[in-house]
Amino acid sequence: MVYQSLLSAPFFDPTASYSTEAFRYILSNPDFHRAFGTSFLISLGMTSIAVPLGSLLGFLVVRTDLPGRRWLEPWLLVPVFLSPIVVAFGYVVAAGPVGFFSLWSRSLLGVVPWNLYSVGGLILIAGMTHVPHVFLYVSSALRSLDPAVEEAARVTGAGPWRIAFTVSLPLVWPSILFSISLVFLLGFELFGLPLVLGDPAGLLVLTTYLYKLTNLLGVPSYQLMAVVALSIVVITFPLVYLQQRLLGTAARYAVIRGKGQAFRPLPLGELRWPMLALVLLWLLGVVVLPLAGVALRSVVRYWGEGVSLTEVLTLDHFRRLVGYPNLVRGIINTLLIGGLGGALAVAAYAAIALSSHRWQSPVVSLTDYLVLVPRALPGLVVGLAFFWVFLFFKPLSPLRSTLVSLWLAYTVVWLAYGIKLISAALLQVAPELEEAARVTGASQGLIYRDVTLPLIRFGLLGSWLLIFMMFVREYSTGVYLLGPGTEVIGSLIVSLWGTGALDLIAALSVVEVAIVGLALFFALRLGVRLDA
Amino acid sequence: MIKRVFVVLIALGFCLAHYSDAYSAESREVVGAAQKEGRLIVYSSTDSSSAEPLLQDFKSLYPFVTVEYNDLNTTEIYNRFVAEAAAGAGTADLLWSSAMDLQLQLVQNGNAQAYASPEIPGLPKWAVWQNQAYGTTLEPVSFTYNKRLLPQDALPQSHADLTRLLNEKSAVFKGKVATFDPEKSGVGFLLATQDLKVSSAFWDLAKALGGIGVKVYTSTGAMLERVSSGEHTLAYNIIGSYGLLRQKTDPSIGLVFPKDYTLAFSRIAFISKAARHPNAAKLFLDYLLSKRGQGIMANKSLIYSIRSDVDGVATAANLNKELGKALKPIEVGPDVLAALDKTKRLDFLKRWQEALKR
Amino acid sequence: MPELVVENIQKRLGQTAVLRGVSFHLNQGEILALLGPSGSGKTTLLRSVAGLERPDAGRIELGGKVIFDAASQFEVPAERRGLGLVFQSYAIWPHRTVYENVAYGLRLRQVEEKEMRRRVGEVLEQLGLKEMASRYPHQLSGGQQQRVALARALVYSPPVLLLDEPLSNLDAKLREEARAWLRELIKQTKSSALYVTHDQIEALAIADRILLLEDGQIQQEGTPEQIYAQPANRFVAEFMGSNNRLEGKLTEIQGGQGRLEGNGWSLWGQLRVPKKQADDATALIHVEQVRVVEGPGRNHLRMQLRSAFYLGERWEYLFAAGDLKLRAWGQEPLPQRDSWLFVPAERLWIF
Repeated sequence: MVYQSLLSAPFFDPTASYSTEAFRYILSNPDFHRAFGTSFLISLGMTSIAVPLGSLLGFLVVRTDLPGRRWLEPWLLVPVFLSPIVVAFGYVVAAGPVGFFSLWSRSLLGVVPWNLYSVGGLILIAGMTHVPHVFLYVSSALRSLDPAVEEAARVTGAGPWRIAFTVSLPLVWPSILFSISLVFLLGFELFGLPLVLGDPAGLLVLTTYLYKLTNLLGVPSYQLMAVVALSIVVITFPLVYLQQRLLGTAARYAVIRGKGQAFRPLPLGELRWPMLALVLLWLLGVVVLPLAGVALRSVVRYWGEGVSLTEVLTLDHFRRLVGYPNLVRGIINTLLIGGLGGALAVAAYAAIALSSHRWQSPVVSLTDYLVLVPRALPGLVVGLAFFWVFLFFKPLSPLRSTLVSLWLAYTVVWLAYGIKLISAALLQVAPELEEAARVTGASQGLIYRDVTLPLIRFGLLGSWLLIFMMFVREYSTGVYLLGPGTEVIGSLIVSLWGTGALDLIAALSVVEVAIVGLALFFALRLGVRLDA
Repeated sequence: MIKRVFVVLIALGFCLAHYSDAYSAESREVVGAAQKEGRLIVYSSTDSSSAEPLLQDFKSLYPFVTVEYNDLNTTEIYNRFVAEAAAGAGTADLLWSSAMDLQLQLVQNGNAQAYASPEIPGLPKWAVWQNQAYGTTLEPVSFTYNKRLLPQDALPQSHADLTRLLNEKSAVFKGKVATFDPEKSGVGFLLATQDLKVSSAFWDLAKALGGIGVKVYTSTGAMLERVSSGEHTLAYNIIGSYGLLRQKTDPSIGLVFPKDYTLAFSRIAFISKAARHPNAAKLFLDYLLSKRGQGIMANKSLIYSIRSDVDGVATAANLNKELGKALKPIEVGPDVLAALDKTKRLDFLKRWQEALKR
Repeated sequence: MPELVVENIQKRLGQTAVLRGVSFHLNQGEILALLGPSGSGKTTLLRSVAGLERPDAGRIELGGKVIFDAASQFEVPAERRGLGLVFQSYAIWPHRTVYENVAYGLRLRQVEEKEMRRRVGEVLEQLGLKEMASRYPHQLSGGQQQRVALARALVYSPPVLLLDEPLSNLDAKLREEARAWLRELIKQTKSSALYVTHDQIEALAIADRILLLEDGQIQQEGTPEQIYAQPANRFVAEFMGSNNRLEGKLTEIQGGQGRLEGNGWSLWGQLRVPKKQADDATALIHVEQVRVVEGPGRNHLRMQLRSAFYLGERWEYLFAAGDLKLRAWGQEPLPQRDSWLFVPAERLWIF
């Protein structure tokens, strides 16, 4: 990428020569600055929404006696595995200018008090839909807290809120910090949401600006795209640096020793039901609303102003979906990549996490930086980058049109995420359990096999489930690696988007959600916990 | 025993008749070579479900050719082909894309091989360029409107009509019109510049659109969805075939082909010079251009055939009948490439932005 | 030949020197206690012998073979030293049964099934865990878990058994009982043992020899009696037992004794370190050495009873005279009046 940004033409073009014209163009382009600013603003906004809410939610679900918190948890994670374009459109159907919710509001109040197509709307939705990411990290850290710490505060007279803000959450500061970096970077990567909701208002973010660049000059201009991508990378470094500084030397937090502790939740008192109501409200707005929008769209022929919904119900879209070419293969491929690919990816992440597990070397902190980068780059760029790697890097070429290349790309993109999940689980294993094995005579490999891995098996299973959901949802990373025979649901959705067959997209999304929902259900039944 | 022989002979006869129908246009050598190749790799922007009837029919004609059909968007086709060609890796044999400018750029850069298809006589002269690039469809560009909500007296029948109505009835149209974003969408840019070429009154239209706060998009689907729901009541420069497809299931959508002029663009196909299965590609190209293939396009895929001797729903004949001189096809030729010139592009876009200023 | 020879072990952790050159040897069949306050380096020393820490300097020999030599950078990894280690937190694997926990060491040594079952059964029987074999750690009490940790370390008959404060997590009553059978068990198995503890009573009870450590250095090495009754320096004297402490000036020196004078009192005591006349000095005496007597005499002090505590097994008295305070023990309650206290000169150690 750096190489490309310094050229005047695609790097494989024989006429390419070194030049800084790409940089000059981009940096002097007012649109770029506007897009950058908007992206920055959105990232800031959504982080400030997602992190506090996610942390609070984590605290409520894990440390208090919030009613129904056991079955609530899987639902909280639903936004994580919904495709963003689908979510965005769900919102349009539900709460857009002529969405059913909006029309209802208009008939009731005479006016629609919200505007989805605005920076505010984008920030709100983006923030809300990223709450689960924060929740995941913070809740797993909270789980390993010694309850005695909170009880001490309780005895001194602190109510649940004070305990949350002055004891529990500060103790999981590393997780919160990591969530901040992650969500902020994810903000730059947002594409589907700003495309659907931002375009009508003329809002430009970095990813849609990149998209614009592919057409602005007629033929795609890779050097310009490379510059923009670099600008994003440039942000990640100070961000991660800041994160490291703030963490200081407190590398290990809350380690459980080999003894189990009875878990005693903090009572919320009178706040129990109001808190539940608030959580349910969030669920309503972030999960139910867009899902309802999508589900509705999948069963109506058309919708909107002047349409009486009961007249247009139909199952036609599902029927047409069944007849769509390559659908079954696409679903099978998706499940394959998610299930088998996910398992392999988790194995890879575990191997990497284990090898850096008991190290404190500077190499480890460097990987912290590098590993967040693929996540931060927009899918457009990553897709191209992987394509070029597989194309031009000879040893990998034969794998290009197989599912293996797709798997490799996905695994690399989600590296940060996966490793953090597994590291969290590893941190909970007291080092003495491994040392005991060592003294008894076990070599390092045997220690991993007999002690470490069995002890984190639930963490591994939980990670597999989450990675499965991520891989199912993925699309843009592998767009150039796909071909007939390797389609996945994500690619089918985008292909349908091109023709505007939103009814089919809605139907397909309903199918996708059903599949993932089923997987989630079975996994939870079998005892897999979503905490690491 | 004799009965069996009879059956086999009759079956053979059927097959021969069947094949000879197709083979009559094809030389034996091409078919033979294609049979040895056995495969065909296509990169196309025509979505799978529209292409499916064509693929099925092609398969029934030439069962020995397995078609690997890659459904990509126009930018992806370009990116992928260019990189793969540079790396010398396996790439498409046939490229079929609705981005006329990108396709012609690739042809201009020497990526196409020349092939004189036996179907050329059935095509309009402007649809074939140097026997390398072939226009395969003639797709009109329409106004699309919401039948439920747009009052009849606000329905424009021509570009001049549209400009006038936007200026006079601005209250009705405020925020309710959609069109392509020429900055972000290749096809949008192409159509806008062609509009300008046909009529300099285009800038008046642009200003009128700006006056009522037109919303711009990159995807036909997004626009159609919003017109159908009533968020917008009118969309400008919608690709007719998508509108037609939508109308099949959605009674809210209405289509108007403007009477002063209607642009029509063509999906261009060319055979790659480095094709590994050139003969199979030739067979497919010929099929696309043949009466049979075009018939499927017109009736099953609904993507507007270009041959004038085809009957059906979405045909050039119908368009000619309805619009006559008003039909303005975008010619397959280097003219289209002018749109790719960087300075001209940026100039146009600058003027567009100024016209749109609310 | 000593079983374990440790020479000049030094270790720094960051800026702090945790071990400053510790040397000792462990004879076969002997229990050596590493005693000291927290931060004295005893656990680090133990872990160095186990191979879980790598010293910066020094040498370790096990059974005559070098297992660590900093100078030649030679180190036998922990998993090959064949030692047994009992952790303070037991560190029993929660995902395996008691049997599997104990059998693991044999499995690694590829002992065949029947033999393994016999040996594990033997050890479990020895520790009273026979019925627990198929239970999981979370189903056991603390004491039982501790015995599983012991069984695991003993099952492959290591030449040296390393124990890191094995009794500190037991409650007081259990600890007393455990002291007894632990020593007996170790003697029965004929292993040598290195026993880390901060509890001096435990060390006195269990060990054949004690190594008292402070701040990374050996303060004194000897039998329990030597450490308790013949402290080499003030630290050792203060660390062991319960003490009375007197500050004063040496006004006379005669032979190995000196007369310590304070505000209104004077006592003869034993000089444990070289002192000169008119030096300031501190004197220590174990509380149980101070006796209540009938009347005056040499080293007798007249003091008033301030308070008396009934501790069940004995009375503890707090006496005062001026600013001098002394504690003493006895078997009866004392009347609230003046008493005479005898401070034996050879037990009053002057430093």
